[in-house]
Amino acid sequence: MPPANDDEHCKTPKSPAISPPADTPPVPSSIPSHSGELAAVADTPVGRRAYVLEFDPGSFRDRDGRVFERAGEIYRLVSDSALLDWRALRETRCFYGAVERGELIETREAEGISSEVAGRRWAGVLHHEKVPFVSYPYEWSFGMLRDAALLQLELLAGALEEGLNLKDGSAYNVLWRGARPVFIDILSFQRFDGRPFWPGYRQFCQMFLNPLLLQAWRNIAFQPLLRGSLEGITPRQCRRMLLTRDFFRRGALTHVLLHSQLEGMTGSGPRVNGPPQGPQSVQHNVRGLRRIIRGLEWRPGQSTWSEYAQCNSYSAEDHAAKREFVATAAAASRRQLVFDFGANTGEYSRLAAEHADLVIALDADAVAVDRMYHELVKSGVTNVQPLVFDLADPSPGLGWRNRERRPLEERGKPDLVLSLAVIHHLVLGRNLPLTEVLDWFAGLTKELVIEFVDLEDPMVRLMLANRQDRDPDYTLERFEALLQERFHVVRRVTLPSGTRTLFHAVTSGS
Amino acid sequence: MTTLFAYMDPGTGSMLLQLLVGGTAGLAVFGRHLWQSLAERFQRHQPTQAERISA
Repeated sequence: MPPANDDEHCKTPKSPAISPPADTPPVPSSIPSHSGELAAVADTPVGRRAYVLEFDPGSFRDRDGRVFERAGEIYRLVSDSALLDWRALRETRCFYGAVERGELIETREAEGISSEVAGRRWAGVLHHEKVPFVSYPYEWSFGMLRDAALLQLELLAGALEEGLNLKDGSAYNVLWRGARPVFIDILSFQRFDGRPFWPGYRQFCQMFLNPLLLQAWRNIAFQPLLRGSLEGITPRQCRRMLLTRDFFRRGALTHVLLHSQLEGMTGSGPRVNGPPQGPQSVQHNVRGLRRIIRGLEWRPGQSTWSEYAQCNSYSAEDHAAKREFVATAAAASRRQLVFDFGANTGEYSRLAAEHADLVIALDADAVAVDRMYHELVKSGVTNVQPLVFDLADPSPGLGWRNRERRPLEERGKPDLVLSLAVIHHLVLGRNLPLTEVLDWFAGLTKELVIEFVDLEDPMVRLMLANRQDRDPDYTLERFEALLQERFHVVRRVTLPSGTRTLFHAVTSGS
Repeated sequence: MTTLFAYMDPGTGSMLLQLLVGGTAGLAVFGRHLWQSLAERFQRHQPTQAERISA
């Protein structure tokens, strides 16, 4: 099946010419730089060319490859053994089936662009389809992590049947196309070596199984735990958070209790002498893990916001007026990327999605996000991506040099931001200064749809029932003046109830 | 501390556990591993050539 990305690099025949043309400057072995830039050499039809590239800062863990972006396309340099593994993978039925179903990223060998970086000659270059937005497991809801885990196991089961194995089990190998998970790490697939182990089993337990067990059985939110440790939750930590009665549940005794007892063991591992083993034992384990994870369900009860769409202070007239306002603003032009902060169950994200390539629907409430995720899956909307995200406690830069996992603003620049009934939570609820919140929005986007909720609004009165302190800036007049200092207001509507006002604002330059 | 191991390190304990949960195929390998470990422990120590010479 031909991948959708028909790139010029891939069509170019491999050039036999290696000698550099006269106008090509000599290539240094590496360019000393603090930004991580590296000198690279590419074989092009007109000879060898030098260029500068920067590796993706999150792609170094697997020594068999490095990812870089060039002209908006994603490439991966691969080692000798990884190239052989890839060639074995592309011959399999499971590869084509998974790519066809959208479960595995489309990949092909990029000829003519290889492959000497900082003095190292790599064996080959792969060209990957680009997934539109990067997100991390600590921003997913329970249902999302569960479906990502099942995808990982399904791919492993398919690979095992055709003589392959997965070398890891990291949740960071999964990204999302809207509400559908896609496995991005082609280099995880390697030829089965006859040892009856899945090397990624421990990692899978720490990044998928244990977080899911804790959420489903103990209602412990996994997002702060996964954000706190990129390695995930160890069996020992998980064991300590479970109650005795949990160890009677399926999987807890072996994957958590026994695993935690064996956790500290060091050494070369169990020796497997004699003839190479088949994958039956790994397959048995995978079937067991699938059964456990399929049986997990999170029953959170009601959260503060999960019922918000059904029971809020909006009258039917307010609701209709708000929908009309957002729909008009969204229809003004076609956007590539929209952020919807405080998306709740995604009603307005879907309105915006009718005129956008992708809407990132963010909410701090994991219950609301999980409900949104299931509704999106059911309805088949493909361009809304739900994420658990708290504006007042956002995803930081994490990992090596704090660049392996990036803050939200570094992962994409939205053409439009929706901030509907959020500002009072930030300013009144979390004490963020109004001026700084508006500054942040102005730095993030050139177009903003924002709802101001008055102090007289019943929801705000409820919020402030036990509080005395007020931000003196928090009045409609002051808010409007501050907004106009940063944006040009193109439309303004006060909802019929009179306590909520919507603004459609654009930066002066746009 | 497991976090001291490399990214791809499957962990010795985790490998052993996989044999235990790996059904009959895994148990067969686990049994063989156990048998070999026990046999080694109870086997009479065979002096190496170097030890024989120094003796």
